[in-house]
Amino acid sequence: MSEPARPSADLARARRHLERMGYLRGGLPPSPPTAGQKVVFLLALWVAVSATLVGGALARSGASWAQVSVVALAVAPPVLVVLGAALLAGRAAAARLLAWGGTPRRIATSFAWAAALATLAGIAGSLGRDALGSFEAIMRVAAGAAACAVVAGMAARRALLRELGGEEPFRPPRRRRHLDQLALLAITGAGLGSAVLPRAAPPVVPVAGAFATSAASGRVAVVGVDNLSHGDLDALAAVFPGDDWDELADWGWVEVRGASAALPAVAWTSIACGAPPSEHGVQVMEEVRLFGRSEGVVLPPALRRLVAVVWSPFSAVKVAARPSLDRRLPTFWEMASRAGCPVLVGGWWGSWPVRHVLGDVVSERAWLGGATGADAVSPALAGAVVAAWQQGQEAPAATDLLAEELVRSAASRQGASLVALWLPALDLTTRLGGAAGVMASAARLEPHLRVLRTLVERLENSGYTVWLVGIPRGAGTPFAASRSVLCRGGHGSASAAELVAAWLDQLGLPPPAGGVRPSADLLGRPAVFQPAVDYGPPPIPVVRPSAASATVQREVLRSLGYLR
Amino acid sequence: MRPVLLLLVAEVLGRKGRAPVDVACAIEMVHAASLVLDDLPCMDDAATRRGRPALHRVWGEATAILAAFAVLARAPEVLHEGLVAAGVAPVHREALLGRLAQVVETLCRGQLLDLALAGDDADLDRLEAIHAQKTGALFVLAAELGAACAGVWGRERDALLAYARNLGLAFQVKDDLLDITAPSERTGKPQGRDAVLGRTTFVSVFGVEGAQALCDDLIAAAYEAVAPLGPPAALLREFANHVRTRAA
Repeated sequence: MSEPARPSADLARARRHLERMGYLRGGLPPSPPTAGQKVVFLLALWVAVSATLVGGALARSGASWAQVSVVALAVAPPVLVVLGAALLAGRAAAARLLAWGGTPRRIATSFAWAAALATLAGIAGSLGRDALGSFEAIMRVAAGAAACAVVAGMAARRALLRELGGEEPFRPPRRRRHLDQLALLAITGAGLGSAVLPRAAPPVVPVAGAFATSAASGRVAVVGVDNLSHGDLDALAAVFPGDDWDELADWGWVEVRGASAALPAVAWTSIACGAPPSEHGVQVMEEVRLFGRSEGVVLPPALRRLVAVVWSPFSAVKVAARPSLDRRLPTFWEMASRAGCPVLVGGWWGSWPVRHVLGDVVSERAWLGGATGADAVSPALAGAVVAAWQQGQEAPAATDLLAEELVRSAASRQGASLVALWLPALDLTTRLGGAAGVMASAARLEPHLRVLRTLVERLENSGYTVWLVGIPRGAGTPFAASRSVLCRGGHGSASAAELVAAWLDQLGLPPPAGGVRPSADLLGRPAVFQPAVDYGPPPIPVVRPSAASATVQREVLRSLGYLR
Repeated sequence: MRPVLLLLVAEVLGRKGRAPVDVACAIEMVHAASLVLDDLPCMDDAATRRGRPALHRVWGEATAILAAFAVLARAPEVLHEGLVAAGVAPVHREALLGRLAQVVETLCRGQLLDLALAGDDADLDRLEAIHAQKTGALFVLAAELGAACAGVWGRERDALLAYARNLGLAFQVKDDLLDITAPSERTGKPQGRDAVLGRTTFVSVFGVEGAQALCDDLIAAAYEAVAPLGPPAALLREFANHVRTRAA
């Protein structure tokens, strides 16, 4: 007979361990659910995760119940596919671990954590960085996501314990039987409820009376060039000696803070409104039209891909360009227009659909796609769009012609005037031609660059204070250059709000309420003191873009490389 | 032990007579088949069982395997007949037959885990996982079937399940103690076999005194579990005490 072994473990700890496992005073362990309960639970979890995603995607968008229902209908099947796949993979992996010697409880506990974390990560990943980018946004989905994760983890543990034989199938105590389902029901309600909650409307201050007569007196032209850095100007001066690029490169310039964004529409709207995307509201360039509905919804990219995988084979998902109807702040040309200053806008992101302004607008829909509908271009310029597209055939040649036409029109104007032009030339060629660098792009783009140089020259000759604004590739820091800027060598910086205030100041208009006043460096002189004015919300659109128009615009943007 | 537990539970709940006996037989058939398989050379390779040569030593491995399967296959039929005789409703009969299949599967899982961990340092978690499946599952099923024969499905049944759960583990702890302390003539198994095979047992983890203390705790918990049943539970307490004090 061998010697009895000495105690190698703490007996008290062992007793506590056994109690946790349902022995001694631990009471009966909860029973694993029956097949029916499992089905009900999975359905409830499915609905709750879907609702959390819908709530996160549409949080406080003021969506109608019909819209929420459609999005929920689109989101739910992919969620079911993912949950089912996770369930099967989890079971297979757990069985493998059991064969390798893991105990049912340890495997089940590990997988519970894995299920909880995967649920959390899945929800966060589907909603994307934008939905989780701020504390407020996180708090909107955190409760639902965390609750889903906890419930999923607990359910995974119980199910695996049963699957792996770690628990005897006791009948569950009655009070616990429906607790999970109730929790999931609450999550579902919270998720869907948050989707229909309206966003707090910004206070609208009536501006009538602030500008009884036109207060504008200056002439300002803002020319935006996509994918252009200030270093590119120096490079262009080297490539085209004698074309005055070196003079353009010598203008004073500042870096523009707070307007960098990966999507061009977002970055350029930030500059136009003098505010970050969280304030002006334009955060995406695409929307999804589900099940043939004309009303589009914005889904986070990952969630949109998930929905597309399941629904695209049925042609139930159509992606369209998102008009800037989400914009909550006026652009600088809309502020000027509201103050009585005639404006001429060409191609600037955020100008589609055309809104009621004092002047004419060629929105990016017409600028890049040649559309002539009332949502795309002011009637007075529709003919110019048609003519440009007949001659130029396509961007960028057509945009060059349109820009020249607008500048001709601007030059012929008398008195105060604001011109806002946006040129895609460098951007387009880089994207389309796959050019190796600025030099190669510049060499191939010589005609378009010459147009840009000519436009600047004509505007200056017509008495406009010209600003050149560029945003470098890859969401780089934008720059703004003008003769009036004192920061030679580009050592200064200004916020987008400061820039807008500078343009208004040069038009003789007061800065917008809540904004900042432009510095003397930016204006080349001290700012004229004027009390700030609330320019109000953006003007109403002339006409709402049609579904077909948005779909075509998306194809245009895709063909030009702005969207993938 | 298991059939006796079933019959005791049925009796405590007011069901006497021959009706539960067939049901108890089904339980014993499953247990016996599991022992035959357990003794095979590919499993524990035991030479004796219940004081006699193991089945495969007498009739050969093939016969032993076939016998085990034959008995195992017959068990559901015997159980069904017993439940019909006991007057258990068809819907419950169906569920209980399903439970029997589950428990057989659980026994297999427990044995698989036991084999997989042979020679490894096991802790309490693994020990409990193995024995809850190899031993406890059948104890609990016995209590479930006893309650079913008596037509009891409420809190009394839950109390009996808790009793059986604690008793099953206590039985295993005691088994480990007897392996060390009892001579082979009394147990029918070679003394100290677990230690020779290098198996991790409750005794090897907690020592003789620790294991005995744990056994006592589990028996006490089993006592406590059936307290709500009142005086009729005396039989069950007596049975639990027998498990604690058994010498073979």
